[in-house]
Amino acid sequence: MAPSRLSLLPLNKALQLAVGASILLVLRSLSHWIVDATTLPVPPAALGLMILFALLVLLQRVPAALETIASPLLGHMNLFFIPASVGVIALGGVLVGDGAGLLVAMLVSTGVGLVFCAKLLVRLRRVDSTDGS
Amino acid sequence: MAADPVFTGLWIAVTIGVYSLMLRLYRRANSFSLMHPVITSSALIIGLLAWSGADYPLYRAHTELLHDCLELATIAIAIPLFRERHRLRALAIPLLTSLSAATALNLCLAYAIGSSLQLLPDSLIALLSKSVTTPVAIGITELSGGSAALTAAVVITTGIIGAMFGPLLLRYFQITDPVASGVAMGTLAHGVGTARAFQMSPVSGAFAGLSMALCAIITSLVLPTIINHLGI
Repeated sequence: MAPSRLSLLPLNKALQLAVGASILLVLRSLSHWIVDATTLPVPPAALGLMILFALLVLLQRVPAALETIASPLLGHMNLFFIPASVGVIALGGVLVGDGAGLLVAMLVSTGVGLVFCAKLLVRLRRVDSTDGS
Repeated sequence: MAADPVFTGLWIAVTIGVYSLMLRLYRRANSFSLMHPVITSSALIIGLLAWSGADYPLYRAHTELLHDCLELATIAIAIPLFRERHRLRALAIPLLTSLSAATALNLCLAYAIGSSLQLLPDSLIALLSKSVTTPVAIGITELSGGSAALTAAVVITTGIIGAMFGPLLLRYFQITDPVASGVAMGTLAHGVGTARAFQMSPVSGAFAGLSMALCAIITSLVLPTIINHLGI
């Protein structure tokens, strides 16, 4: 596989960043192409995530170039949210009408879901460990 | 929308500049949830847009590059997920069960409350996408014909709610297991919850990141079909 062989070369960090970004860009193109061609109801980025995970499992390691690009991308994901969240102004009308209702729905479902999720997992793990002993 | 390259460079630079200032402020405020850099940066940029007379669609066209990076970052989540593959295999069944059950409960509650309060279709789609990490939520929204901006606002607010109240709720219900706490934070409050979970313990953080990715995958496979069937 080309990406892994490239990462074995003594690349400097800038080049690793470029190679890592290229790998991600190719995966992005591939997943967009698959979604367009098959009309799968899956966001292309989520499909790309799955393809990359499958590739890493096949490789059994993370190529250095991907490692180098992943930390700035994941560490500053918040930056990439800004263009979409600035769009709140574009929907002033909806927020005036639905703002309070949205907030109630978010508070209740998030709080209940969070406690339910943690409680259920604690119980399931306990069942698992008593089965094992 | 034609985006003049002169201003594209400027708006991207302004966005990055504002973000790095707000990130510094957030760290100085000990990661206080309400000072989350997405909230403070967006507020400042909204102010700048109003002051300069630029409208949102134009700003959005100029910063398309940053939006594209969100897709690359989402694909890159596969890397931490791969690092946790051994722990994932050991815990796969209990983890997937509680994650899916909690997500189903979360979506049903949000939809039930939203529709009984007679919210608009765009708001319902945003609520259904809310616990998934933002790039995936935006992907689902675009696929379902909802409003990406509203979804982004709802997703980020959900993350902040989870990060603020999650640790308090877990303490109140006497959940001390770091794995369970992490899974709950990542499943219900995605990226913002994951950042908060890393402050609770490294184990919680790792499992929060893992759950965020799993929740994103599962939801993105199932939700668009459900939204179609609900006819929103």
